[in-house]
Amino acid sequence: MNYIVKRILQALPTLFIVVLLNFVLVRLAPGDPISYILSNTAEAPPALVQEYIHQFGLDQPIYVQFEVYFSRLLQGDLGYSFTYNAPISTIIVPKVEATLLLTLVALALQILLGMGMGIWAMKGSRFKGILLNVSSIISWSAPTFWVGMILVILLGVNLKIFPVGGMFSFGVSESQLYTDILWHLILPALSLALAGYGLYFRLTRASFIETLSQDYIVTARAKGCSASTVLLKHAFKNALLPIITIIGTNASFLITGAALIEVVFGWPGIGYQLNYAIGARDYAMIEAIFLVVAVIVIISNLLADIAYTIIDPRVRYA
Amino acid sequence: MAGLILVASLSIFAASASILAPNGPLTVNLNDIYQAPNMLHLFGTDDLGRDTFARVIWGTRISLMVGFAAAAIAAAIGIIVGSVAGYFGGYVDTILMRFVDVMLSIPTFFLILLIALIFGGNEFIIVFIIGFTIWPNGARLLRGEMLKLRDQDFVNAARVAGAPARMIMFSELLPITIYPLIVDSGLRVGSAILTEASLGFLGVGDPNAASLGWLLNEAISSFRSAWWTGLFPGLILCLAVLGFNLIADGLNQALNVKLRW
Repeated sequence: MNYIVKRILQALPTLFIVVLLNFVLVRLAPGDPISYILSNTAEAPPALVQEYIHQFGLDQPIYVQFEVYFSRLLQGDLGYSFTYNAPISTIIVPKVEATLLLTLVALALQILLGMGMGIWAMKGSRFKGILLNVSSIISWSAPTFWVGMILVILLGVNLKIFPVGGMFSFGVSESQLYTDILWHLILPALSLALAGYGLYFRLTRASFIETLSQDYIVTARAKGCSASTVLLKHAFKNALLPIITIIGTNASFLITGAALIEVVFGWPGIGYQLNYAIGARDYAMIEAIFLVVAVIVIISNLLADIAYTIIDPRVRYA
Repeated sequence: MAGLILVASLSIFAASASILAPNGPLTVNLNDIYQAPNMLHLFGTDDLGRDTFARVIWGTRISLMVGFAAAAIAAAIGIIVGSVAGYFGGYVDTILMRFVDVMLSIPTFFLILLIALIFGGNEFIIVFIIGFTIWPNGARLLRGEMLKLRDQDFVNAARVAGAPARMIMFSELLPITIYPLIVDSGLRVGSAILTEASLGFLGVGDPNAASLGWLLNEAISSFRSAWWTGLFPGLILCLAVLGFNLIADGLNQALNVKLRW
């Protein structure tokens, strides 16, 4: 418990630095900072802009600005977008949900694929091991969005098995909505999984090789446990530990991949939103997306560390 | 070894851009739009009749240069920060490593994107931004190695003999501690290439530079009907990153450094 509290307290400064970075960057920007903070003010009525400048404290000294900015953030206010004429938080929340759905499904697929192949590579010929190893390096090197494009061309356009974009079909009935979303989710999630399982594969393999050389495994084998019992019952839990750490540290990589894949598939998440915001020069939106992603990544790191202590009691007492 | 061959052939491919594609990546030919790959246009043409092969070969040039330059900048910063933190220890170490921890736990890509958008995005600036954000991992690895050796006898002897810290750090310790950073730099080249391509893919960067990422950005709207506009730039991109990852992997095994992937 103590450790968990300490770990949470450690995450807070990081979060604060991200907020500070965000605040400083926009104010260092060349040109008129107000047009960065309230995006696309050129299209907005001047009176309204003035009102918002006053509301956000942009006519006041910099420390007051930060105070206003920070207290607004704490209330969940991410700023205002003149491109949409709406508060950014209301626009961004459904996008974050869509991205999280995609990310979590993709993560599950990645781990399943990576660990499955990792364990599979433990037995069998040397040739199979090398083949799987090479495939994992290719997976690690391929840009997610390109893998997505290839899958769309192969399975979506040529074989017409899967829909080539969007999150659901037009005019789908309420009762079929969830299966329809799942149907649209398969290709983007699969692309992410294919472009990311390599890491888990390599880690699983390395981790199992190390665990299996330990004394307690030798003892278990000597007692007469079968190879598969040892592998799945004795070694599995310990071999799992580094993988949990990696899920946390890899969260940033995964969500970046998800953001890019969304653009290929038109999946209405934050990446899709980001792409749109870049086109519209909606800086306030881009800033907000950076913040939200940073918070998600920091929280995932935190959760991974906490999960680690639950599985491995040694960390708690260290 | 395979990585070295891959990178070498891609470099030759990129270096001969002006011979293989003398017309440059931007030549428009409206009579030849959306041609599938044929003898005249090996990789087909795009919506403006530009030759995809020419665009890919010139884009490869940019990608490789961005990767090398950004990784070089990152390595330089990593060497300085890692050496200073590892050699001096104490408060300096704590502060630098806390900073490294923060850098490693925030989504760097989104940060790079934000900075590139705010400060303008020609390729030169993007190289610097990428270089200045991907150094922490290398710095941390070097710092760990330095920390292990800073109290060895030969270091103490040098210190007693009156050698300045700068000399001990860079001429005594660095040559024997730099291996993990070299391996890491190989990975950084790959990740810098990927980062630059991802930025281009999202429409950040110089459209006239026509980097591989930018080609893929243009392919978003056309690849469903004209597959070659998406396949070839991505394939070369993939091969380039693969090449550097294989080199890093080979170095890792050769130097036998324990390194997390």
